Amino acid sequence: MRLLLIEDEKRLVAFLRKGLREESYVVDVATNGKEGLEMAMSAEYDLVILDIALPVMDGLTVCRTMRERGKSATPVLMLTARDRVEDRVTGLDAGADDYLVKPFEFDELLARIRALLRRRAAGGEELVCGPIGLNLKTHKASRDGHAVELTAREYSLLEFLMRRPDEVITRSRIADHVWEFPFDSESNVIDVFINRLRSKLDPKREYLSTVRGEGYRLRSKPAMGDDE
Amino acid sequence: MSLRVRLSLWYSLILFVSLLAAGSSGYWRIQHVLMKQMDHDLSDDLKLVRKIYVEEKQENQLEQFKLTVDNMDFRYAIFGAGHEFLTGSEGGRIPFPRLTAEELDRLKNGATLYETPEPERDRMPVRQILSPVEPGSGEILLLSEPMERIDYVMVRLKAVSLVLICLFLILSAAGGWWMAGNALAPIDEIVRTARQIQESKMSLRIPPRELRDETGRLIETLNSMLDRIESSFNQIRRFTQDAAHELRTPLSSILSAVDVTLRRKDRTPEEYREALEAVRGETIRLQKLAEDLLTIARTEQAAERGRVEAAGACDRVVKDLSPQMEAKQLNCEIRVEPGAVSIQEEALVRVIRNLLDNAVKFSPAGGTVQITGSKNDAYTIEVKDDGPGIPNGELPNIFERFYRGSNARNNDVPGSGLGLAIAQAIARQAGGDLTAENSPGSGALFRLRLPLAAGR
Repeated sequence: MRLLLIEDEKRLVAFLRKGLREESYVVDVATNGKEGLEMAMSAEYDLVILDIALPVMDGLTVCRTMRERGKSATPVLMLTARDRVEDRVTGLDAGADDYLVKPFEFDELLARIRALLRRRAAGGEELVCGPIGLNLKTHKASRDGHAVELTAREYSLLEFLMRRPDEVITRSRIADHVWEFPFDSESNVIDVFINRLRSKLDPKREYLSTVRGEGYRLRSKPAMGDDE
Repeated sequence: MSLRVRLSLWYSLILFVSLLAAGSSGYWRIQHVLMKQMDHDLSDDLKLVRKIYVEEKQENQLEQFKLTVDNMDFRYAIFGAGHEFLTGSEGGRIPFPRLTAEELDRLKNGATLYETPEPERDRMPVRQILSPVEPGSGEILLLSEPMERIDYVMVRLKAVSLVLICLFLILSAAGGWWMAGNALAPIDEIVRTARQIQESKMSLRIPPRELRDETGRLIETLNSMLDRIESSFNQIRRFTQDAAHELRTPLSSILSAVDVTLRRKDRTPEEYREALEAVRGETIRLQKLAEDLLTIARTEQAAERGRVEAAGACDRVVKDLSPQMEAKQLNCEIRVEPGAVSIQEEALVRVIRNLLDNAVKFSPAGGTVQITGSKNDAYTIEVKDDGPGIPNGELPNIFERFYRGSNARNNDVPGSGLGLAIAQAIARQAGGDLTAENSPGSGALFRLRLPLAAGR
C-alpha cells in the first residue's frame, strides 16, 4: 500500500518512514504543505498521513483543498501535537478521517493505518476473495482454510490485488503501490511475484489471471477458461 | 442589613429629627407669640383698669369702679402694701402670687410683672400681670386671664403637627426605599452577572446603562477590566498551548525513533547509533526549550536593577560567537560608544547574543554584521545584518512567543521561536524596548533601547 507522509520534523520523518517500510508500506514524503498537496493531487495514494503544523501551507488547508479538488476517497490520518477537543473537531471537520496526537506509540500509528485502510475496503480484518483469505493483522494468507506463508513483498502484492477484486490492474499501478523504486518496465519482477503467488495460492490459475496486454486481475469467482 | 434598608432608615431618622426640630421650634415660637400677644392685651387692660381705679378712688366711687371692671372679661385683684387682699372680681379671691425677693423688689420699684402660676387643681392655667397702682402708694393691681385661647390653638397645632410628621415620615421612608432600590438595582445586576463570569464564560459582560451616573461608570469600568482579564487569559491559554505543542514535537520524534528501532531484535549497531543520535538531538532541543520557558517565567517577575558597561557586553558576545561568524566568513563591524546601562549584565548579554545569533543565522556567507552603540538620553544598540530581512507582513509578529517567521521555517533555521520574545521581555522589564525594522539596503535591523544607569 502506498502512503504519503507530509511532515516537516526531519528526525520523525526518517524514523516513521523506516518503520513503515519495514511494515511493507511504500512511503513517499513531503516536508511542507504545498509540496504535500501537489503530491497528493498528482498521484494515487492509499492513505495520507498529514501533520497539521507545516510550513508554507498548514495541514488543515492541505486536507480541505484535497477534498475540494476531488480527492475525497483517500483516507487522511492527521498527526498533531494539539490535543484539545476544539482542535480534534477542526481537524475532523477539515476532512480528516482520523486524528492521532503526538507523541504517539508506533504501534498505535500502525493500528490506525490498518483501520483506515480496512474502512476503505469495507472489510474486516480479513480480506476474502473466493477461497483465498488474507489476515491483515497477521499477514497470513489462506487457501481453503489452510494457512499459507508469504514474504513481505508477496503479502503487499496480494493485499493490493485483494482490495480491488475483479478489477484489471496495470503493471505500472502495481509497481507504484507495491514497490518503492521505479524499475525498468521491461523487467519481469512483477510477473515473477505473481507466479509465486499463484504457486502458493492458486496453482490452477482459476482466480489470479493475466489479462494480456493490460495487466492482472484477481477474480472472486473461478475463471471459465476464456482468458489465460 | 442591606444598603437599601440602612439608607432608608437613615433618611427616615434624619427626616424625623428635622421635622421634630422644626415642629418643636415652630410650636414654641407660636406659643411665644401668642403669649406675647396676650401679655400685650393684658398690659393694655391693666393700664385701663389702673386709670379707672385711680379716677374712681379719687372721687370715692369705688363701687362704680367695681361695676365697670367686673364686666370685663378678666379677673382682677388689688392688694395693699402688705399684700393683703383689698378688692377683686367676684367668684373667688385670687391669692397673691408667690414672688422671689428680686421680683418683689422690682415690683416695689414700679416694674410690671408677668406670671404664669401653677394652676390649681381642675382649673385652667392663667396668665397674670402685676403692677403697682401708683408709684409710692404700695397698692398692687393684678389682672388674670385664662390661657384658654392659647391652649386651644396649641393643642390643635400639636395634633396636626404630629399627624403631618408621621405622614411625611411614612411618605419619605417609602419614597426613599423606592429610590434606593432603583439606584441600587444595577448593583444587584452587576453581582448576578459577575457571578456567572468564569473561565468558561469569559466573554460575558454586564449590560451597560444609558445613564452616565456612578453605576453607569462602574459598569463601564468593570467591563473594560473584564476585557483586559479576558485578553490576558487568552494570551496565557495561547502560550500554554504553544508551549505544549513545542514540547510535544521533540518528544514525538524521540518516541518514534525508539519505537521503530525496538520493533526488530536484529538491528545493526549503526541503526542503534542513528536512533541514539536522534534522541540526543531532540533532547537537547527540549532542554533549550525548557530553559527558554523558565527564562520567560522568571522575566515576568520583578527584576533587580543592575549596571553594566554596554561596550563590554557587546565585546563579550562578539567573542562568544566568533566561531560561528568565522564558519560563515562574516565580517563584524563594531562601533560601540562607552556608556553604562541600567540592566543586569547577564540579561543584557542574553539579549545581544540573541540579536547577534539571529544576524549570524540569517546572513549570507561572506556578509557583514554591524553592531553600533550610541548614547544620548538613553542607550541604543543596533544590530544589522544583510540577510533577507523580515517580510513586511511578519514584522508586527516577530516578537510573539513561538513565532517563527517564514524565513526560519522554510530554510530550516533552528530555534524555538522564543528568543526574540524573551529579548523583548527583558528589554521592557529593564525600562526600555526592542524594536525591529528592515534596513533600507537589505537585511534586518534590530534596535535595543535601554535607560542609562544613574550616577557614575
